[in-house]
Amino acid sequence: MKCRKCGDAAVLELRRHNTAFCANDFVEFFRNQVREAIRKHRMFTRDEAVLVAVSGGKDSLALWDVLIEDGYRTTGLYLDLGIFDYSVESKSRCEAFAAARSVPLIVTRVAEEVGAPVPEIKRIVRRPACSACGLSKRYLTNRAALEHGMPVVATGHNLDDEAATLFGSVLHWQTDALPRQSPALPSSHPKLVRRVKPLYRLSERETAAYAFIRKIDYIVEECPFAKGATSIMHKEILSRLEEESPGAKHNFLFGFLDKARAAFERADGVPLNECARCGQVTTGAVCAFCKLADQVKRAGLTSLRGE
Amino acid sequence: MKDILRELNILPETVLVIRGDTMVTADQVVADNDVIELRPVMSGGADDRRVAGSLQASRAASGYSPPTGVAGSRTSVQASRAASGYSPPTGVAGSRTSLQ
Repeated sequence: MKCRKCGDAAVLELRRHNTAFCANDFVEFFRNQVREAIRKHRMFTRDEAVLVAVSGGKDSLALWDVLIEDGYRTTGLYLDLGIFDYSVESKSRCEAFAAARSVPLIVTRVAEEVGAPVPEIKRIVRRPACSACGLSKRYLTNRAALEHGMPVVATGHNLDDEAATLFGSVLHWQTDALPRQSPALPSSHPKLVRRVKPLYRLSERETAAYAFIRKIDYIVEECPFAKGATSIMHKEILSRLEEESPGAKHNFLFGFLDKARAAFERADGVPLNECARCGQVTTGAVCAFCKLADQVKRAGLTSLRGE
Repeated sequence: MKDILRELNILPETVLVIRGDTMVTADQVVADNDVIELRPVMSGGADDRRVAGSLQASRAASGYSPPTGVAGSRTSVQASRAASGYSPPTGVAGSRTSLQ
C-alpha cells in the first residue's frame, strides 16, 4: 500500500477516506484536521490562552502536541483522581510530556478538592466511579480555567468518543443531551468557559497512530473503573459497523451535527445560578460538586465516630 | 496481517499493527520470525500487564477484564505460529502474548 501523497510505503490505511499515508504525510493530515476543527468552530484564536485537559492517554497528549507545534499558548491540567497505580502512571506521563516541551502543567488532586480519591468516593456514593469522576472533571477544569484567566478548555474527545456518546443519547432519546453534543460549546455564563473538542474529526485509531509516530509516551491502558462502561459497548458496536461500512461513524456524527442537532436546541434554556457555597455555576442553590464534597465529608465523620 | 487479525478475531479498526518501530498496514505480509505488536486503541479496552504489579492487583480487585472481539491488550504474535492453523483463545487477555 502506497502513501496517497508521496507514493512511499504507507504506514496507516484510512478506509473511511479511502486512502493511506506514510508517517510524515499522516502527521500533516492529522494536524490539518485539527486546524480545520478549530477554524470551522472558531474554537480559539492564537491570542487566547488554552487550558488543555490531559489524562496521560493518547488523545489528550496528541492534542496538546498539535497545539504546541502550531504555536498556541497552552497550559495542561492534570486531575489526579487517586486511582491506584493508574493515576501514578498517567500523572508521570503528563509531567514528562510537559517537561520535555517546557510547557506549564497544573496538577489538581481530587482527594484534596472533594475529600477523598475516586475509589473512596465510589464506595461512599455507591454509584459507578464514572459519575463522580465526570462531575469532578467538569467542575475542576472550569474552575481552573477561570482561576488562571483562560477562556477555553480543550479536551481530547475524538470521533469515536463523540459517535458513542451520540449513539447512547439516541438509543434513549435523551433530547436534552443532544443539543449539548457539539465540538464547541460556547460560554453561557460569565463563570462558564468555552469547552472545545479539536479532535472530533479524528478517530481513536488515528490519534493512537499520531501519538505513536510522534513518539509520545502515553499510558496505553485505560482506567480500571471503565470495566462494563456502556460507552465502551457502544464503541464496540460502532466499530463493527465501521468494519462493514467504512465511514459509518463519521456519517453518523457529522450527519447529526450538520442536519439534526439544531432541531433539538431550545430557546428557553435552563436558568443558571451561582452556587451559594463555592460561587460556581449551577442550576440549583448548591452545586452538585459541593453536594458531593458534603457527602464525602459526612461519610468521613461517620467513619471517625465508628458508626 | 489481515489474516492474522481475522484469526485472532480482532477488528482492524481497534488496533495499531506495529513491527519493530514502525506501523504496518493490513496488506503487509509478515515473515515467519517477525514479532508484531497489536496495540489497542479503544479507550477502556486495554490491559497492559507490563505496568507495575500493584495495578494488576487493583484491576483484579475491580474485576476488570478486556472486552472480547477487540484488542484488549498489547499483544505480540509470532507470525509463523499464527499461520499454522492455531486456534487463539477467546478474548485476548494477556500482554505480549506469544502464540505458542
